[in-house]
Amino acid sequence: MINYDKFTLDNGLRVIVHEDHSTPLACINILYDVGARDEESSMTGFAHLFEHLMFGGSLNIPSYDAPLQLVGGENNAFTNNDITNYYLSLPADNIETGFWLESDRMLSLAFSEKSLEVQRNVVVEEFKQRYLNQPYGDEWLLIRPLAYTKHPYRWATIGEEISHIENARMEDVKAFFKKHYHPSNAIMVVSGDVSLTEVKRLSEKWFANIPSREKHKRNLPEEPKQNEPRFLEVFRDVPADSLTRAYHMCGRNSEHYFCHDLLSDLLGRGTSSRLHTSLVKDKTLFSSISAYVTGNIDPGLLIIQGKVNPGIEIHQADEAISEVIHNLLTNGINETELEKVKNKAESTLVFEEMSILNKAMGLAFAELLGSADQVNTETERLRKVSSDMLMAQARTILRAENCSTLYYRKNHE
Amino acid sequence: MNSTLNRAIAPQAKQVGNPKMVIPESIQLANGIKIHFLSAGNQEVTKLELHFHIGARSHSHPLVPGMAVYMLKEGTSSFNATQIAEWADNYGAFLETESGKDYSSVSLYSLNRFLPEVIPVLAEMLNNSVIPSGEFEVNRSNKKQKFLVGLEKVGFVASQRFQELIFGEKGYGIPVKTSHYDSLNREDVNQFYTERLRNQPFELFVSGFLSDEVKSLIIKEFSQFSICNSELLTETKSSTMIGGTHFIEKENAMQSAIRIGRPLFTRRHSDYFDMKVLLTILGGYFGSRLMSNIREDKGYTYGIGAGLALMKDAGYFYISTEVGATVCADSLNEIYKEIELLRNEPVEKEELELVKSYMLGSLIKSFEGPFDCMDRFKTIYLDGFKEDYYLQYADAIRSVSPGRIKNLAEQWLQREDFTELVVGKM
Repeated sequence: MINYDKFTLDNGLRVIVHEDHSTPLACINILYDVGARDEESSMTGFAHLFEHLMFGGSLNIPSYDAPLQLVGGENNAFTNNDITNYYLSLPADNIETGFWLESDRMLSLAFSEKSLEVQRNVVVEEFKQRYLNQPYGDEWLLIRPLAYTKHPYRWATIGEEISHIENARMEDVKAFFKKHYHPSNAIMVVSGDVSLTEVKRLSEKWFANIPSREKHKRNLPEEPKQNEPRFLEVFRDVPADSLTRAYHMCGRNSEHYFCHDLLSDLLGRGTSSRLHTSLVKDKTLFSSISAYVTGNIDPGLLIIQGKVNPGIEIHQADEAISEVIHNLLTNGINETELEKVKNKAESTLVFEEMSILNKAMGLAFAELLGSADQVNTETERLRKVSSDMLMAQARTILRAENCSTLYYRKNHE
Repeated sequence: MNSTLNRAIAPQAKQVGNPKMVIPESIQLANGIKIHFLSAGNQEVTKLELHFHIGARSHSHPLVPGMAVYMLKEGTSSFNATQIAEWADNYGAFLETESGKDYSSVSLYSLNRFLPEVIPVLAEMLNNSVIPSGEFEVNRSNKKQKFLVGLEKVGFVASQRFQELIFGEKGYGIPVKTSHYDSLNREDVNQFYTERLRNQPFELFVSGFLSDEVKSLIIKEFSQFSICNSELLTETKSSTMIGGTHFIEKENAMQSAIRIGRPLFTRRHSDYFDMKVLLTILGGYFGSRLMSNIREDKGYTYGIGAGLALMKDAGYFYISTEVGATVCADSLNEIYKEIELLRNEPVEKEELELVKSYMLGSLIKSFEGPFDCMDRFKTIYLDGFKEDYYLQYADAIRSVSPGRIKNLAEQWLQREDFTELVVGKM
């Protein structure tokens, strides 16, 4: 249970406060409601590049990092397809420094040409390091456009191609800031050794006079229903074949979300899961296999991904996955197995609540989904999933016509 | 009030204080097992870590110890691998094994309400492991596959080879080769389990929200272990460093991995604390000299870092990065330039103040929650230090001077002592 208070400034900034006096630290987490899904198809990777630029100096403060480090703090940020999330932690005594830094960059960036030029290069190196210069690094760059034809989830956060990042111009940066970086498009959570009164005072002082802008109305194309199996095969310099299946599933706010989540767990979370037991242990067709959901706000994907053992024909391995699924759809699940995945999901939530930063992030994301209170009802909602509900969803999702398959194969020598 | 707000001026700030430490309560059971209880936080969870003084160095075949520890989860006389996994999973618990060069551990994370049901899995694994040959083969082959994937990564290849260059090809430097996965056999692993794991003494680190009930339960469960207090075999093979400048070409590499470093010392050395400050300035945080130059000024890399890698009986200084293949040579020049600068010019007072505050803040942060607190305690306990260690560390950070930093750079960061390795394209 995470206790919190919430208030909204006149300019639209939502502020959530979670007091935890067992630590001498405090965190500020600011979530901006913008992610890779909000990019133009000709400028993919922009939300993430922009995240880098947020550290390149703001209107009145030339360096973001140094003043924070000077008071004992540290920070980072991440971008995904849905959101851009910035966070810092520091000794609670010095929390005002965080308000000062975060409010100035919400007010306006410095828009330095040098920063844009350098961060373009840094992000290009990141692209290479994480996606191109790694075995299997581009798997997700291939799966997304296979599974999505219309929705912007068809490109990865890093971008569709390097040239989109290389071509980013300062006027694009400014327009992006204006559209997405303002109080009503942000959710701020302050957690740790702080008091509601103090957070209210500091929020008023530093954020209240940031001009309000109207929240951009998102109008994304809906992904059309997939009606036939999709398939892609590529060859790369890798030591083993890799196989991925991507099934369309519901979005994060759907009433079925926890069904889909638990379904992926029982298929492929951990070594007692069905796929691992059958395909890694019993039949030794895969060296590893797992299943998980992407957890996106708009309808996401349930992924099954495994590395095929040497000497095993990939079609045979693929067929064996179908058998595991067929077995599930035909014979259903028993209560013990359902209880197992629920217990695991519940304890994962409890362990996640052990740091003030995780709690802040959880509150911010829940608030974006509709209400911060959702962090406290997750366990209850996943507990409500019955085997009938789960099986009904399994039959809806785990169909060949709803699936995109990628064979990522080893080059022949 | 807002009209007079001057955003160019930083708010008043306080000096960064000392960490809030929680000291564990340590007891020894009649069978010799030492238990350390650390209670903190407010989540009803517990982590039990069984800690063994064995690692890759404890056997002539570097994969045998790690495999023996890994196989604890893979089958006992009464339960197969899936049943053991289910034992933990059914109660939402997490079971992990880990094995390094010096130490190994088995950890169990659980909600307190399920502890009575899950704790017995630990005794089952440790006392009745049978290393089933089927499971052994599957795991050997899967680990080999993972290793082969690793060999495709310039960073992985560089880290492997670099340790060998620093320590020579025995002891800490022993290079793991693909052939080790082929020569790994079940009998060796089983023998290692029988002689070095089963019935052998270990220490138990317990952290979380610990009620008296939880503690008594743990004491009761672990009192049932039968431990033979045999003398620990200590094989400390070592060899001389190889050193030098090396290049491993990787065709089609878009980035090159760079490693530069030299053998240094452990926590016990009198220069250790101050050296940590020097290495933080060089490459230990986002605003470090290397990050500012190679990433934030030149855009050559996504990240670059420097630090001190510590093992039980040795330590080495390293710089580690992956840079665009076309800018590799220039990156090397810039790295050496930054080191020279630290040797030739005392660090500015402002920069040193910033690094000190940053390090003190990180120190406080490293004590968040019961698991982190226990990790901090375990680290110094295993090295034989007392609980005031971190306060001494904080004092050392506060008092180190620019002159002292320069002296350390002159003494320990001499280019002729460095080993340099590039994997990728030059």
